[in-house]
Amino acid sequence: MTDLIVRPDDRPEARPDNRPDRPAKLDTIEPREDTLAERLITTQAPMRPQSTPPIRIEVDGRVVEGFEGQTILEVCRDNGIEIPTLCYEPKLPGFGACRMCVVEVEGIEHPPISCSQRADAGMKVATQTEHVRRLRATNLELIFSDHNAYCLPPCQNKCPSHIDIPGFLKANAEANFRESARIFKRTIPFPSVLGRVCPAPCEEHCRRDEVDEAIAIRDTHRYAGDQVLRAMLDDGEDPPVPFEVQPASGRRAAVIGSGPAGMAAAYYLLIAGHEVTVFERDPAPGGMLRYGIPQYRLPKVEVLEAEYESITRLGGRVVCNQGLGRDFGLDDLTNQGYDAVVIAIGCYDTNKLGIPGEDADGVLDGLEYLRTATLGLTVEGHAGSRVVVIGGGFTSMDCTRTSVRQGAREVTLVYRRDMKDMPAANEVHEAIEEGATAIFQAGPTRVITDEASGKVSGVEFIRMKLGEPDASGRRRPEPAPGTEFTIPCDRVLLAIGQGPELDWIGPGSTGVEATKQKRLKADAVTFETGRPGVFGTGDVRIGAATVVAAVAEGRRAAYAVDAFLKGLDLAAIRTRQTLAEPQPEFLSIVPFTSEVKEPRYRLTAMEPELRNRSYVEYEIPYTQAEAMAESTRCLQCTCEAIGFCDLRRLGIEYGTTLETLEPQYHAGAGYRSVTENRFTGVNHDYIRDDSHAFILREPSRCIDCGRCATVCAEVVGAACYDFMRIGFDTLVTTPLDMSLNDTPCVSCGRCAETCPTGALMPKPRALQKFEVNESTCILCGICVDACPYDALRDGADVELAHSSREQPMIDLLAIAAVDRETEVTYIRKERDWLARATAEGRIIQSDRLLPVLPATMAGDGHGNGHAGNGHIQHR
Amino acid sequence: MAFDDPSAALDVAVAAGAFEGLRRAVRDLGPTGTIATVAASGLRGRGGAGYPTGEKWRTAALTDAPRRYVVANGYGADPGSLTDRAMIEADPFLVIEGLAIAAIAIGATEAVVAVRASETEAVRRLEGVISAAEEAGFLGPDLLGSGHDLSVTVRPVQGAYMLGEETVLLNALEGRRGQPEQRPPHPAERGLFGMPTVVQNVQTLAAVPFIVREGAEAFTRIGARGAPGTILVQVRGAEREGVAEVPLGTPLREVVALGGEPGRGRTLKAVVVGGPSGGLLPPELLDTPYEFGALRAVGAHIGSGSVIAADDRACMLDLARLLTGFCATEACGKTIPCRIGTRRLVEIADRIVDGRPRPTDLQLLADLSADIVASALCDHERLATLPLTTGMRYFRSELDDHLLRSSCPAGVCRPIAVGAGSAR
Amino acid sequence: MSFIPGLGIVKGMALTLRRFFEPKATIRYPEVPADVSPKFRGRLQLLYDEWGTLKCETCFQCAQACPIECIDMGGIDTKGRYHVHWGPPEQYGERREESALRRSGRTVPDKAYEHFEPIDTDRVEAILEDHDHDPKRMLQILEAVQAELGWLPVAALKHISFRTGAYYALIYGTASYYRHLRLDPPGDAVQGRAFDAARPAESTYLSGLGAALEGRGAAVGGGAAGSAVH
Repeated sequence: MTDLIVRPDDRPEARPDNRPDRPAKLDTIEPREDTLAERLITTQAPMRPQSTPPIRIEVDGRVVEGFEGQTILEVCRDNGIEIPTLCYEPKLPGFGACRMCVVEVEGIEHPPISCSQRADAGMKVATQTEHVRRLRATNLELIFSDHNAYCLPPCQNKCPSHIDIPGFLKANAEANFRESARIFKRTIPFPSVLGRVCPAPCEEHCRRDEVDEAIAIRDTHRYAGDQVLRAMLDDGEDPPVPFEVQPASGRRAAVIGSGPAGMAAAYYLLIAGHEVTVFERDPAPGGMLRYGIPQYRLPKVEVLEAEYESITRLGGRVVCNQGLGRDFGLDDLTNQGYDAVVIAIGCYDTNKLGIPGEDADGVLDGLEYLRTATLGLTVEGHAGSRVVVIGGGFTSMDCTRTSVRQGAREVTLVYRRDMKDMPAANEVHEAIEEGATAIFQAGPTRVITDEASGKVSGVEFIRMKLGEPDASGRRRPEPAPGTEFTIPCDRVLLAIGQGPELDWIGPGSTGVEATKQKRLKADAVTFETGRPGVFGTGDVRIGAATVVAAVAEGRRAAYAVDAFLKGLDLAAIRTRQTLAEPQPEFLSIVPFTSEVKEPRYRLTAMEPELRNRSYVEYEIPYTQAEAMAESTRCLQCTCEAIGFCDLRRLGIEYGTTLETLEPQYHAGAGYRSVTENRFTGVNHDYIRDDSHAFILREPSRCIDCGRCATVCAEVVGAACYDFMRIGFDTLVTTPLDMSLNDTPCVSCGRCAETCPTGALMPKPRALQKFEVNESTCILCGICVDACPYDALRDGADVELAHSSREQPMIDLLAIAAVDRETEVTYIRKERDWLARATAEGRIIQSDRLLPVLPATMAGDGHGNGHAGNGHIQHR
Repeated sequence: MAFDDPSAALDVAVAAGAFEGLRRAVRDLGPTGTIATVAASGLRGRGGAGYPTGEKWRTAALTDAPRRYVVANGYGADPGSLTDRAMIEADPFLVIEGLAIAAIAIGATEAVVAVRASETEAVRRLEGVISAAEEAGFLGPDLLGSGHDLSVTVRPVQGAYMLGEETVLLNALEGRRGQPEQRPPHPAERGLFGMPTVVQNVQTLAAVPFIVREGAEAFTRIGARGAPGTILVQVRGAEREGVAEVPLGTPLREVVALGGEPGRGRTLKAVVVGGPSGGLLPPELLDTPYEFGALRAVGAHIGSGSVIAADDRACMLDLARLLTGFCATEACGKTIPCRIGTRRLVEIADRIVDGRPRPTDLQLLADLSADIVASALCDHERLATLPLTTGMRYFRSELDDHLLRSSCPAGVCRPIAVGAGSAR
Repeated sequence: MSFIPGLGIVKGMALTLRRFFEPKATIRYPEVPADVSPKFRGRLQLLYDEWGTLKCETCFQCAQACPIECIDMGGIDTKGRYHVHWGPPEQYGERREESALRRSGRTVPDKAYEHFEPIDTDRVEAILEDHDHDPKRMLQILEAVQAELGWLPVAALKHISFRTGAYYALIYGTASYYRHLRLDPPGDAVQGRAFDAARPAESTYLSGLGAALEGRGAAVGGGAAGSAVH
């Protein structure tokens, strides 16, 4: 609207006068262009002078116009110049608590705050000088040093698939295991599988570690997944589906490879409504999960097949004994009418050592060995032999421990780096307990064979010293000359890494190619290969990785394939895909200091003597109480305000964040994000108040800006909040920190809307009834202006033309009759939640329940409710 | 003067010249003339900030409003300085007269004298004096036949150090939380109940009758250039402690000497000038004139008028930590740099005094103090940085002893005491 | 008058026929929507977002803003337990009166604090009478009530809010700021005086100052002045 009234005079004739101290000229007689607006001004208000004289000030070297009496902040905002604020409430006078809107004004010694400093004609203002930016950054750091709350959970960040970990831990803590599994399945379909095999990068960065020990995240979702499997196997209950299954799209997708990547892609594509067939080379599905990970780690029938049943229950088909390149090619799939193909065949080509004697009799490929071992077959000659396993990854660990179980006399694991650089470092002690030996910092030089039989009789190694770090951050091993030694053995298992098998590329499967690193070439975001309709995902694209990384790949590929099958432009979803995988900034804030210490509930393992002879799962699972207790330890370091928080946005903008949590970038000072804040010291820790139905209060996040207090007192008239106490302990809260239920709160939500952080958040509520009394409505449009969510509009319908004035405008029930999940249908479904929950045996914390309205006062779900005074409303 | 019979005391005071200035203001000068005289005299506020009084009155008089107020701030926020109480108890007539002159000058019909509630004697005397003056016609409706009404009330206040700040006092008088308001607009434009209000220290008001009676010229002859008049100081030395009246511009040395010489075997180490937010000045600066600008230039301020002599028994860091700690505790909590920043300053001081400083602490102290001063809302936070910044500036070697050598020369702090003749 | 008979009729008919074949300006509203400017104010509509859900958050700001109070709306939380409603004035006699009272600045009876311990409000009422029920004299009222009762119980503050019209939260904010006002009952049965000479922060400071000047250390000897956490 401003530009309709005040027009900066930028015609050349006016240039000499375009100085801040000259009065602004206003011409409202000649229309400057032929638009309706111009004609309205000039013809209808040609000579009317401005009631408020305009003034000119100079901001950042630019001359801008405002009105007399405006503050610097108002002038700047009207002209599109952004000055950060936290405590400023638009349309109310400046408060002056946050000191963020400081600007430098020529002639004023200390930078004044622009929300209160009146703009005088001819003022020279600078909004982004180094000085004021530094002042703002210091302010933000001071706030963060007393901000006992966290925006983002580092666990979610580190997980390759970005699972909502605090979310499912919360459901776990409430014994709602089904819901917990459902939340998990939004990002990974197999909680029980991952609960056994995942290396848990999330746990490395768990903030609970600063209090006592990291949460056993993996073990808790294992428990939740197991409950779902048990319900499926024992009671026939379908596993929960994370999203609403879309109606059949009529498209067919083929997934090649039933490993974690392929099955994850299949799962999400099935939910998206497409028909999916999975082709598997081996006799049974599972890929690495079945043939690479031993039974004691991942039971095949009770867990793997049970988890995979969720795919068959959704309508997926798995066809075994069909290998790409061996039994069919890509062209065959196209001919059979598949609209999209996802190649997820993993890595099965073991790397070679490149040392003499490598192909001697007795040197086995680790994966081949495991395949036989996990099929339940005894590997000939293994019992009683001496085995050397070379490598440090999970495969080598599985080879080691399976060899022990298969009765090998001596099993030695040799790794060329140090133990802490091993990917499978946490299993080493278990392997040693079971009877294996581990040697570190040694690399093989040659295989010694018996001259007569040609069989392996030993391997010669050389000691390694650790040199400079390489690209992965681990120190590169260099051979130390003269330190050779030999280990006598009968068997050598190679497990030094795998690559994809790509020899099927060729006639029958053209259009795809391999990269220089000998992996399948596919786009990192859209997973497209060179051939239209063919996508590559999982280990075949990125090289041998963890199961969780493969599942994440499969999920993201499903998103892209779904877009492709819907006919969307893949270039368009490229941006959305990237945005959907967040790269969070971590604010350097307060460490947890006041949590009561409670140790981690560890899974106990069976005795080594018992377990090294059998393939039974050796970890004794949690009881329900343990699972819940462990989940309750989660500090829930998420904030519902993420994306809406001004404090976080300004913190990122003013550089008070850490770019990454990786340890090598923090010079050994710890990477918990707390040592970076210069002002770390005493801080407050307040309890969350969840008692009100519509407003969530988290006082630890409060920055004492006072906006909620001002708005509630002056705009709403309820005055639920005020500054309490004095000095460092000042907090804007309700009197006596009482629940909002005990205050005159009218649940309007204005305080939550104005709060710049997540200290006050609105809880969702659903509209049930909306009627306008059209006989009195004057169509003034004030309600449309008042709505902060743009949910109301003056339509184009003219009142008098409406055929029936008694009819309500919006018939919520009619809309609800459409077969679609809306708030109303959801509300109806959830109506008996309490009865259902107690029937399930779920533990309900009664102090967290709202007092339920007495029956005479509760609504009946049709919009017939009761007001506080007991009157009945009828539609 | 005995105040048990206020009207008798009033007679005595009038005979000695009390309310002569008021008469002159009413009869001869009128409001405009009074303001001009006070402005010409160069009188500056004695509450610590030293704002020119005449300008304040002029702003209030020129602001268009239905009512105006005058508030006399006799709260005396510094618990260690009894200057304001001494002023009120010694000559309440002078204070009331100055208050009345100010009210005439700006056109205020109501005036409030804020006093510490615990100073019951001061309250009693003031109330007696006011009622006696009203009876005699110096206050009240149509005072001295001027057609001007003035009602004066005494408000005992207590409960917060911040009440020494003018906008905080006004909020307290309105019955609200004592949080300072953003200025501009100054109280002279919008103050008590949104009306132009002149808030003056009782000492400032006490200087007004002299100015009006004897003229601006006579006043400028006392004191220093740019800071005329006298001021009450609370001196605390080794031998004596008490309130004295000195002309502004007196060298600090002479003010300190009023408290006596340091004890036997002791030397003067520092002078704390200004109260709980005072600057620690070394003996080299004893020639500094005791007036507004000169003290600010060296990093101290007049403040509450407190001048404390510290000898070599005291540790400067310990002292600075005490002062900063008091300021942090008494902070109102409204703005971020003050609420959190002063607390962090105290934590840094704690670390230094406890012998566990972080390597960045010194730089942090300097940076944080500078940032607090630049982005502050009120003078409380600005001045709260003074003890530590003057400590850094003038007592660097002592600071280095604590930081680098983990020792306290005075033998006070927890690091190993290495000092001249200190027994711990 | 014209020479050619019927010319007038022909002219008239020509005009009619011309109009007959001209494009019509009639808009068949409401079957055909009228072309109106975006700022045209017609009947209210609730809007949906791109995923088909209502944008309305049931915040009642529209109902509150309506000068005619013609919006009647209600909502429910997602567990179906708590129901909020904002409706037309005729059905909300009490509420309308309450909101009108609030806006006028007069006192509003507040039933939210029934469950706090009651006190004898006559003593508080007497004090309020002395001070004319003036919320601007809140500090004096609070000091007098504390002198009378020994502390400031919740029921007293509630009564003061009710009778002076000041918001309860703001009274609390004021009372928690000044150190001499006590919001917890005193330890002993002795009634507190209106001013409390034992101001802990100040006395700690003074004794700490003395200790520091004498070389005993403000924190070590004279008590932790300000730096320790209380």
